[in-house]
Amino acid sequence: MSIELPDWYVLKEPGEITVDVKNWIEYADTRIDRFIKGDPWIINRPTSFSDEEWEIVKVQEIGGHFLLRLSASTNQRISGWLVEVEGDLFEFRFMSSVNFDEKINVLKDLYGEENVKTIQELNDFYQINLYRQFNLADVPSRRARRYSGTAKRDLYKRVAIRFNKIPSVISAKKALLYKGWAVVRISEIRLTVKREFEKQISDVIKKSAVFVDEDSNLADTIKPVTQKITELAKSKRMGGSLSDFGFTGSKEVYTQVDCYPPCILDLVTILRDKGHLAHIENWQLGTFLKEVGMPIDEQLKFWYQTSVDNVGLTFDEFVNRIGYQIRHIYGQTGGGIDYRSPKCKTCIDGYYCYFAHKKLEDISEDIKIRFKDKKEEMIDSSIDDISKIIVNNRFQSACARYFQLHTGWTIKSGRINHMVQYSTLAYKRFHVTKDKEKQSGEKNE
Amino acid sequence: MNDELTPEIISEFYRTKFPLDKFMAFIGLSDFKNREFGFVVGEDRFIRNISFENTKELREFMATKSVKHAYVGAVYEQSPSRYSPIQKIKWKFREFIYDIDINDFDLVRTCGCQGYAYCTDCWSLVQDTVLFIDETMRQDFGFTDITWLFSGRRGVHGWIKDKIANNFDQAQRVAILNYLTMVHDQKRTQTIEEIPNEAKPLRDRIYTIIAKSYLLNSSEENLVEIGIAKKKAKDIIQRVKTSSEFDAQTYNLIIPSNQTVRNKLSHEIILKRYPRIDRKVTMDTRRVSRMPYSIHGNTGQLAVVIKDIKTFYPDSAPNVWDALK
Repeated sequence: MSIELPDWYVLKEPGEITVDVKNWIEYADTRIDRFIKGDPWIINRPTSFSDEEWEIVKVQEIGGHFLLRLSASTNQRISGWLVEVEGDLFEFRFMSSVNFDEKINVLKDLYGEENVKTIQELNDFYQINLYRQFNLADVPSRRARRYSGTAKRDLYKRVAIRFNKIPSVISAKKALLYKGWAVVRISEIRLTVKREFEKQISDVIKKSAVFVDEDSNLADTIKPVTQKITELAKSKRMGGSLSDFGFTGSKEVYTQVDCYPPCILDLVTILRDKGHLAHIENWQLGTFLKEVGMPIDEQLKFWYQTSVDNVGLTFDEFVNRIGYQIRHIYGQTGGGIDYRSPKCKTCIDGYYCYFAHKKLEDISEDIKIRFKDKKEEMIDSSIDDISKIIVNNRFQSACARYFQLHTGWTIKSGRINHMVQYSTLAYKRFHVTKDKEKQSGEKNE
Repeated sequence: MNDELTPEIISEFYRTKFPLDKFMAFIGLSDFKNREFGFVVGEDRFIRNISFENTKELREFMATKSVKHAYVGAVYEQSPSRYSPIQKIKWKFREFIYDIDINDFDLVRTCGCQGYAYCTDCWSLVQDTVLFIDETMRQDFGFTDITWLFSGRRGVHGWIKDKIANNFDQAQRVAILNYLTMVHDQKRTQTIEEIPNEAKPLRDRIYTIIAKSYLLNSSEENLVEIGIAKKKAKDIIQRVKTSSEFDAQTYNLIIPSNQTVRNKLSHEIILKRYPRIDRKVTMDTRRVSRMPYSIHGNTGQLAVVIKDIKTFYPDSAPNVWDALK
């Protein structure tokens, strides 16, 4: 039995489509422009549209995506970018779709039909009534009043997914488990579903390379698209900007190690002790240092002095052979993309987050050592607070509490969103004089 | 308690009494050649990366070497050996295993036992842990093929052999562990996680299995300290003792509705009696675990299957001397 997938879902088999090369490039251009603007869109068939009119919209959507997919298959950096922006777009479309069945069908496609059930299907299968047995309600009444739109109300509806498909949700105890099925609200799986989509889109991009390899005409067709993305990347940060968070890195922050967040301090310590980090941790540290103002020459020196990759190499040899990744971060090699450091949410999910990935006992030990000059009661109560927040999986809030202990300042939102946010605020706290602060008109968060 | 555990006794046990057929039925016949084994031999030398062509070779090895401790590990794409160590060959599968040791409860044992020592009072912590995990695995995760084994000294091992579990990667194993974990940093700060709203079956199980034992082992004074009035405390203990079927509903009915008191009581119940699990054993897909039916080299007791944890007590487990009688 095949399931009906929505037309906005780019992993859907497109079927037969015909498009001429000129239009094809135009569709891809339009898609790139929309991604760059950071303005997500969804395609829904208006009732007034004829089949022919709707077919044109679908061809524009699928054609544009497919050409980008082919272009990305030839270039790893474009592939990384495309996975990220298509992931964001997918998340937006999935969450804002007003049709609950659409959501279920997309989940069935991503995780396999046998691994996803509606609650009704689960009830029928086990001859029970989960809602009654566990006293569940789809929409909490207070929230229901606040959210009147169908799409938002859908977020509180539940779906059943085999537990082994969504380990991070199980880990956080955000699902009701019944006979191996995780009964979970749509709102709790949005990030997990996005990651699964990104994994699958990344795989199909890789597989698309074979089409380009086998067809020289296709290779010529994708050239202008690849060129456009590369040029845009050189002139503009791709995929959102730090201003989303209401702050930017200061040029001087990198000189003040005492202002670094605990995740970065840990990475630096591991690098100094072991001489190397995992690839993604290199990336996290490198992009952070860049964003807090460390110039490329200085960063190259930093890695030369601390990494084991320097063995037997002169500094110049190191820069030529190993410094590739650092120059890449600064956009001086490869596609010329000016890369950003990952947000806290991304770090929790796939990079290194001190509070999500370090053992609780080690964290409390670290705190005692780092803040040994502070009052013992203050340290104890902070450790107590931080531990409680961590075990409830609120890692960004734990970081905010740590920041409070570190600086004495309270983060109003109650959470740290970005490593650079941590450093910039700590820098302001410890190194910006009151006069300067007045001049800049900035406020303590 | 018993005679000395000599190499000759060990050798005789493995040659004549070790139930190889039961062991093979336990781990399954397929992929035997590619299964890793580990042993403690001679003067406490631990050897790993060992595999056998057939069960005859395995028996011969254990008898000839008089292995003090025998362990069984994961299955690989090829036979592990000194020349093909497990780090260099592809992992295929591993059963999902829990290790429960009485000494993991040292910080909350009130009977005075510590380390390897145990008594009927503190052994009930292990019994509750097994009941809790077993039910969670069956009801919440849908596993059906679960066997509990005595470790031979101070704990028990739970083997989940459902095919789906064999293939779990580390992230999936850790997810199940995290779902079960309510006491973090269990050997130091013992930070208690709030009982989550969504994990209702887990919450109900805490109130059914763990709370019942807690209340049965509590005095009126204990409950008064939490903030429950003396008369009510007496009533609660009486109700628990006389309830034929204690469950979450009963718990909710008999415990005062004051939220502060309820939170404090939940915290105490979890702190004092919630399962403690050796995480490393469950997470590590390449770890070796005590071989079912083998001898524990320090006690001479056998790692037998536990038929009913409610009636099982380590002292009653069979040992090598009984087996050879």
